[in-house]
Amino acid sequence: MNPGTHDPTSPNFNPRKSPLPSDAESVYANAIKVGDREPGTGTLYFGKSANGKYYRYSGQNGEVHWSGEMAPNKVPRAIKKQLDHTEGS
Amino acid sequence: MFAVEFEIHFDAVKAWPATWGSLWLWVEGRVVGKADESEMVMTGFDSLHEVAIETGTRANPLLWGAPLHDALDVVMWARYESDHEPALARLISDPASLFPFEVLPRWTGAFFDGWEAILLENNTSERFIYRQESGSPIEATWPLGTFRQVVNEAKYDFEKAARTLVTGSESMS
Repeated sequence: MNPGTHDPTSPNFNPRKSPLPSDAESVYANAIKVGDREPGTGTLYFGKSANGKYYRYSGQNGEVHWSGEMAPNKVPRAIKKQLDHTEGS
Repeated sequence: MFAVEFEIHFDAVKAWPATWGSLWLWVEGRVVGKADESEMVMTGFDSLHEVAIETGTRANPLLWGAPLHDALDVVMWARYESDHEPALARLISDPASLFPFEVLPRWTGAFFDGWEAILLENNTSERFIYRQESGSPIEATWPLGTFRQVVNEAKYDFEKAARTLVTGSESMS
């Protein structure tokens, strides 16, 4: 996973961006990809951290980066249900 | 009336299609989106393009005749969890049937965080209804197909510019 502009130790860091959380990589490992999209479009994933935070990941051409912590009501209902279920199982 | 504007960030240009930049909309002179956000531009364009190719599928008398905030609320409720059930929800048998009406945020990523927008259509026109989080909804109306045409032209221009910057070639293959 590419830290994009969120990694304070990177020359690409954008100070207006939220710092990359330490668990971004581990949450991405179990993130759920948004499906039912047009072929050839970019990718979007949502994941849930151990402390209940929802993360979004965006990418193009296989290069994915953390793109923010999302409020629960900004995570698509179907994906949130899967993430919450996975957490509880 | 309606326009799409983008920037390519030279300090962060990466191999196509992962080119970084900014992307926002102009709706009747108002900026819609976070014009200072930096992200992979195609993340936004891909989502807008998906909206564009669904043109012609958004005729819904219930939404067309509803107050702006009710129409926005029920389309957002269909996709996302909500603390309350909006007024029109009990009239919707299949929430997924409202997915094509969502323009923002859909899958646009960070460019439109905090914004919500939908498109409604009849035979001749389309209504773009939008709001910034917690704000009052605003409506703009233009001829049917305008959104598709403007988005597709902007996407083409972006691809051409980004490919030229990265590869030195305008090839669109």
